[in-house]
Amino acid sequence: MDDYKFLFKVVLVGNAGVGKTCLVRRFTQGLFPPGQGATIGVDFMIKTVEIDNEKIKLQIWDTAGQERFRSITQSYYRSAHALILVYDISCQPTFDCLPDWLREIEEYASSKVLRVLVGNKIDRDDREIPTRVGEDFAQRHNMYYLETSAKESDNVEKLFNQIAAELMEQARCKELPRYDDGNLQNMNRRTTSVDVTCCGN
Amino acid sequence: MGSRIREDVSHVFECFCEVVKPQGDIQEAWVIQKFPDSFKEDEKIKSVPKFAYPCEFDNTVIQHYSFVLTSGDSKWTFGFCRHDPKSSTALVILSYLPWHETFYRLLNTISELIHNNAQADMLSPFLANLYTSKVPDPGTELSVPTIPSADKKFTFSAPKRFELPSIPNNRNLSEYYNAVNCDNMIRVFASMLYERRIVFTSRKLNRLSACVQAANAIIYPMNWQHIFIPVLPIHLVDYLFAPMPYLIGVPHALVDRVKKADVGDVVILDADNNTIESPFDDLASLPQEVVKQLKSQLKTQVMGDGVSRAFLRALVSLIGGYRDALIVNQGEKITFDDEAFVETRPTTMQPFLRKMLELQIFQQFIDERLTMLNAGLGFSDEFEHEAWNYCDKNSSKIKGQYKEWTSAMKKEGSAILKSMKTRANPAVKNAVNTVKERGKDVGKAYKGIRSKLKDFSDVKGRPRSQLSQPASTSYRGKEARRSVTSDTGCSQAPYSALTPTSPDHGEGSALSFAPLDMDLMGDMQDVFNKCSLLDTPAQTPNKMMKPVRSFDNFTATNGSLLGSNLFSGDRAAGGSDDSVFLLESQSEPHARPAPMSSHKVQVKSSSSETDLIRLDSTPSDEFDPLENGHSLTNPLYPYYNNDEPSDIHRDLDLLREYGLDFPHSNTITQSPQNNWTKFD
Repeated sequence: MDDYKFLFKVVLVGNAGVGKTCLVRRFTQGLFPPGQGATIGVDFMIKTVEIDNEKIKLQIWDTAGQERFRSITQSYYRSAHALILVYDISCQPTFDCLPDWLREIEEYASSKVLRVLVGNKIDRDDREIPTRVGEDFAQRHNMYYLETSAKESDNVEKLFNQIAAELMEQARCKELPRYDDGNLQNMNRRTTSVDVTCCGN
Repeated sequence: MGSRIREDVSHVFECFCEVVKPQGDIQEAWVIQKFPDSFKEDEKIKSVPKFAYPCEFDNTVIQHYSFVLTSGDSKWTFGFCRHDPKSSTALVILSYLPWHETFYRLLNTISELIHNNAQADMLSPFLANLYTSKVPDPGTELSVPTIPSADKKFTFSAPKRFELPSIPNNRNLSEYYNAVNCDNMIRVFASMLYERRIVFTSRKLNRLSACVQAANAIIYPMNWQHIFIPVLPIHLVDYLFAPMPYLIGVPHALVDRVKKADVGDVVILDADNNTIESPFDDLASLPQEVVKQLKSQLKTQVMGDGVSRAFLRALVSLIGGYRDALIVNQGEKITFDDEAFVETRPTTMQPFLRKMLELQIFQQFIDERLTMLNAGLGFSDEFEHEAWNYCDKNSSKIKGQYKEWTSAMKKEGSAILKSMKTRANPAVKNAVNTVKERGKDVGKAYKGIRSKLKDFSDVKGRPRSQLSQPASTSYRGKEARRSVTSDTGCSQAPYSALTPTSPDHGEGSALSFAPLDMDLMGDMQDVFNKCSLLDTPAQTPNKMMKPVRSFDNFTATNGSLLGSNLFSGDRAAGGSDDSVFLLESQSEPHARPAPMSSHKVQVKSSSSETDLIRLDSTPSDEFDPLENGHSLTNPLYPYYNNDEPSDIHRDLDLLREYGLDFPHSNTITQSPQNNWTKFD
């Protein structure tokens, strides 16, 4: 079994073409495991980061490939620890879709989930969304905000490291119930075990 | 769209591989040969050895299992795998077709060719021949010579359309039913509807993959939309951490590879011990009247498609009401109204239905239904027929609307389709594309609509519902056989007998119903049924309509019971289970068959006449009960096929072939009404 203190699951959402996959690839540098998506249909990357001398395993899930769903509903984010909502700063429509994404997230994701708004592609010189507008939006919706360039690798490390640090902080404060021993027992108690009996008993 | 099975399949199989198991210094399995050589999908070929040897596992008996590869467009490629303890290689077939029984048999045939030196050079021509053969249409047969000099052939039939998985013909469902009791099947069903993260575990790969596949088949007409890995190989264990819903079969050897705390809330079915662990109580959140009905149906109907149909009916009760929420306006595409969907149902159902609206699985279902309707395909699958059955009065309303809608489409149909195509809505665009892409079945129908004018002028002069065509007889056959049970709230329609000379009921029905004068299956099912001891007596009307088989057939072939063997290949498990089945078969003569009146069958069957709308297709699309020369009225019940008279034989053989030991032997031997005799 891997040696790590915490495992956190991060899900990236946002319109197609905003650079979700690039962000992940850039962060993990293709370290692990390229191209699972070809056999499982859903792809993720893993990177271990170290914060305060603790090893943290980040498992980053890309929703690319889910475009076949008219909208990603229910349960998709249910057990994620953090959601990264990405838009393209050079593409107004991707920003205009943010409220729709938020509605879904708010409806379905756990209320404790950490939310981060990311304006990607700051390497481009045809910016349409000023930084201030993005910041405002994030503030209004109680999200962290960061601008990145997957292409130039700007702020990519910072993004994921901050998420890891924040989640670890939460975990230490026992805000993440599934790392709480007491809660684990609780879950076991609720577990229903069924004997080999006939149906209808 | 919703379905994850490819429709545009041009080859029976995509690739055959022989995989060498990891041994000694070589830690990884590798492909030693493949066919065709031109198969270049590297990702898939690279994955095959990993899925063929997913982890350390027991390899003491020959076993077949299947794995699934999912491509970026969410479609599945099935890998059928055969392990032989005497061989250091595994045989794998990759195909887009989920025809488990056929491919397992094919692997046996290939194994014979490979391991018999005299025949080794027959393999290549055989595979080439099969590869280039046209994929048989639903219900038709394909025969490919294996050893031409000895006139040996590999013959199989493509599954009939809308056929529900049945026991024992469907190996996956038989395994699942064998391993997991009804209560737990229902629990898994509920958790799948709620799109949980679900893990199945087993020490046996064949049981693992069969249970996962069967669990998905049981939610038909819905399709699991998320991560689907019937057998998880060791290199992919991190998928157990996925935050989104999944259905994953985890070999027992891998269970301890992950920290359970990191996995989070997950439903775990242990298929070896028939136990479920779940942090959720999904079963309690289903409308209880539906659960009750499902349980009682699972008690009374098991063999044949009883299990599948019981779950299908449960889904009909749960979501069949979607029709009342369809908005049908002339000249516009049909749409679905979420609010109406909930509001039109009883208040006890409403909380569940509100929840359903949020689920991917339901959304895809609705999208698919709208696609079917908007493409003019009508209500034409098993779900819809059960739904007609479920509630007549509602259906007639939407049916009438739909009739009008389609007749309007006759005039301006192409315009609608065109507008659908150009709409921005990606779902609809997608839908049209899907319809376009689909192969034999729907493709034809779609083409039919595109060349609407021609088609409809053909239709002119015969009844709108096309019921006078022989094809529709098949539905009637089905209706007849279906127990018109006390489906909640369904008023029994007054049936009128069909005249014997009715053109709709040709010789086909007469031939197939004539010998069915006993409820042998009904009684046999009592033997097989786990719940027989607890069964309630008030099921008499049901029994009248249960699938039955000819008693004569059984006795006629009784003597050869021991010798019969469907498959030429090796058995998946040793003969240790045989005594169980022999015992069971011996019990048959003691069964007291209830009379099955063919008159009654015909009476019931007339009820479906007014219900059917099939505007879709050219006659060649439809069921033809007489094709293949079968005197088979009902394509949904393959065991009525006269070609195979020893059905019971076949069932027992099949179960034995699967290595299945239906866990009823205890019940059976204790049962006082049976005097057991043993074969020596």
